[in-house]
Amino acid sequence: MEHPFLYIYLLQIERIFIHYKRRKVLIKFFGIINRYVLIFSILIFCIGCNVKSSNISEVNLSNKSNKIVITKSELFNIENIVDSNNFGWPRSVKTTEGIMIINEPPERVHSLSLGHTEILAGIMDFNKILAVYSFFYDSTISNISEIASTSVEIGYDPEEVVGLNPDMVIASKYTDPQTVAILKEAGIPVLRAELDSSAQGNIPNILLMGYVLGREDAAISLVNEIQDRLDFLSKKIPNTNQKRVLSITKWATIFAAGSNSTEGGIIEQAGAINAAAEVGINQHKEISIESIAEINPDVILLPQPRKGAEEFQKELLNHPVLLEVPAIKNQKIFHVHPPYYTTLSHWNVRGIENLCKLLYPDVFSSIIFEDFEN
Amino acid sequence: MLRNTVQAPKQFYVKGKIIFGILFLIIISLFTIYVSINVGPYEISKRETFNFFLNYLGFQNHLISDTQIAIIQTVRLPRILMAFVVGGGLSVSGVIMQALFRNNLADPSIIGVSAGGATGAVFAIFTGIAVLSVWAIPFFAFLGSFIALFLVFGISSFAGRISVPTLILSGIAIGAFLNSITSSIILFSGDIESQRQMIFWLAGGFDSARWSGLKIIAPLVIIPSIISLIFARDLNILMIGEDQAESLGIRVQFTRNFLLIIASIITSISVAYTGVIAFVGLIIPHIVRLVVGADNRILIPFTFFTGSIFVLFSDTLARTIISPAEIRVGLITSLLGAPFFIYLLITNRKNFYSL
Repeated sequence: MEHPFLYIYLLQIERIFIHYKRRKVLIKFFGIINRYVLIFSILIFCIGCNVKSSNISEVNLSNKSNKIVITKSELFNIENIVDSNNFGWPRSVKTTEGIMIINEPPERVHSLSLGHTEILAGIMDFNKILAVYSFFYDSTISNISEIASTSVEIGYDPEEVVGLNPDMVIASKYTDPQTVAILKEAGIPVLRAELDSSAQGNIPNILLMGYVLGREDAAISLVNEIQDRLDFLSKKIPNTNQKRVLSITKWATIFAAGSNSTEGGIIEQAGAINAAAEVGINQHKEISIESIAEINPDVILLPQPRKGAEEFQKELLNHPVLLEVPAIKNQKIFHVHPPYYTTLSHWNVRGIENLCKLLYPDVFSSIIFEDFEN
Repeated sequence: MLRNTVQAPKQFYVKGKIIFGILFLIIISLFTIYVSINVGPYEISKRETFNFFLNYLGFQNHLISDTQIAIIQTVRLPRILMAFVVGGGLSVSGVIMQALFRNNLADPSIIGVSAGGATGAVFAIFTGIAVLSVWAIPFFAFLGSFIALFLVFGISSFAGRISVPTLILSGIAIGAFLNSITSSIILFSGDIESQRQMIFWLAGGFDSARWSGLKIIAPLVIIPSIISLIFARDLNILMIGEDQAESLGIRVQFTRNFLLIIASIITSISVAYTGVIAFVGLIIPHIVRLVVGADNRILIPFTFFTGSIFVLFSDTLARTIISPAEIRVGLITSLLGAPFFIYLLITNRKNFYSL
């Protein structure tokens, strides 16, 4: 009953044959053939085609009808998938180092980056992720600190990764090429996957990882959840009076998040203006107190661990240079949960939700946003 | 007598040139300071800067906003003066080191003093002592520099004399050892906030300059620099060789140790407040030497002002070139200093070999 249309289709064919039998023209031909044998033959034929027909069928994972639903056909748009009709094994993907052929679903997976591990946790059984790095269970950095705390911890030596004997290693573009080379020499397939600084930009990446791991349904489900959450926010965010938001951190010196930064993407998706990007800052750049006065933001976000953020907040509130800055005058300076704002994964959506609550308390204060399951 | 009458006008001429040169550098310094006050991410016009000084001198009611006053007073001026003082101090420290070791490659970083300062500061951040007092990092940086100097000095001294090659080599070895300790501390620090603090501190810069820091650093850099000028004649004689210096009545060991302590104080206090700003102590003395010669009595004041102007100019560029963002000053000092130094080396090859 998985494909009811197939059943109906077979019955229709059967009826056609019966119809011809009644016409006596084919009585002699079909007389010796048991109609059940015929149905069986057709069934075998259709099963042969079934893989392909199910591939192109859309799997609607959402019950809502009036919204964009990500389907399996979305996988066709992902450049890295060599044959977008192939959902069997082996399957191939294009990587920066050439075509990678995956013979069977990887069972033992290791990720070299936190962002990818967070995505993996969202689409597969975390027990299949062989090990984590120490900062993965630091709750000021990681969104999966709790689940990661029970995993095996390894160091940064590629030898330790080889020792895990993984079926597949996921690396990011930031991973040291030497590490990737060592792992490949050891015969371990390494997939260098992208990590985008926006939640939406990560969707193709999530789908690709789902495809590589044979977890495309879970990936589609996660992507749909991201889309649902973003749709919900975009419908509720007021269009008037866009606030100018500046996201800064202080680590001995002050850094602002400009365009092409995770924080910047979150600010824009929350319907505000990234004040740092507006003055031409790209990615994360060092700025001075004086620059904050010049940028003159309505709201300041501090996505860093609480201890440092509190000291920095005090410094900003008391600095004579910033007395006229709206964010300081109106006490709109917020310490926010750093992992939501700094990680490169779907958890950025939680940052957008969190920021919406801060920027539009009238609209969002009564709404409780829940974390992703994993 | 005849000789004196011939030399007198020449000496007067030379002294005049020196005084003129110093005055020229002071004017350039004041001009650079004024321009630096004027530029920055927050717009302050020349008129408003002028008004700030008029108000400051007691001629009240000249138009300038409270924010602009605060920016000049609490952000730009301490930063500019810190860059000026540290630039001068590091350059003078380089002059002393190069003269004492009779080695053109000697500078505070080559004999491990900067590495010691860095280790001390990173240790203070790592152990959490840094948060207890604003004096903690400077104190530990100074302690680190001094330990490094003591070790290098101890290794290279034999029978009351210093072997210059041993001193340079031991300086490199101690520097490398201390750098590896610094790296280990950073790696083993579990707290990512501390790690980042250490790394950015090591990168060096004047962005955290405050009047409170300047009040400490200015006397500890300027006074030793003036003292080194007093010892400039002895330094000249020491450059000839320790035996000759002794025969000319110089207390070699005392003078050498004293001047090394002077250079160490200047370097460590600079490193403590601004991080490691490389290259200045090495190239500025050479650049100035190519222009005014190797006489330390002239070299030290000229180097101080040239180093000050160079570092201040570099810092002004660092904070304005991609404004409102900034870049680290060390990047500018190397980008500007290295090509200019190479140019001077090529055009003055003959003079350089005679030094």
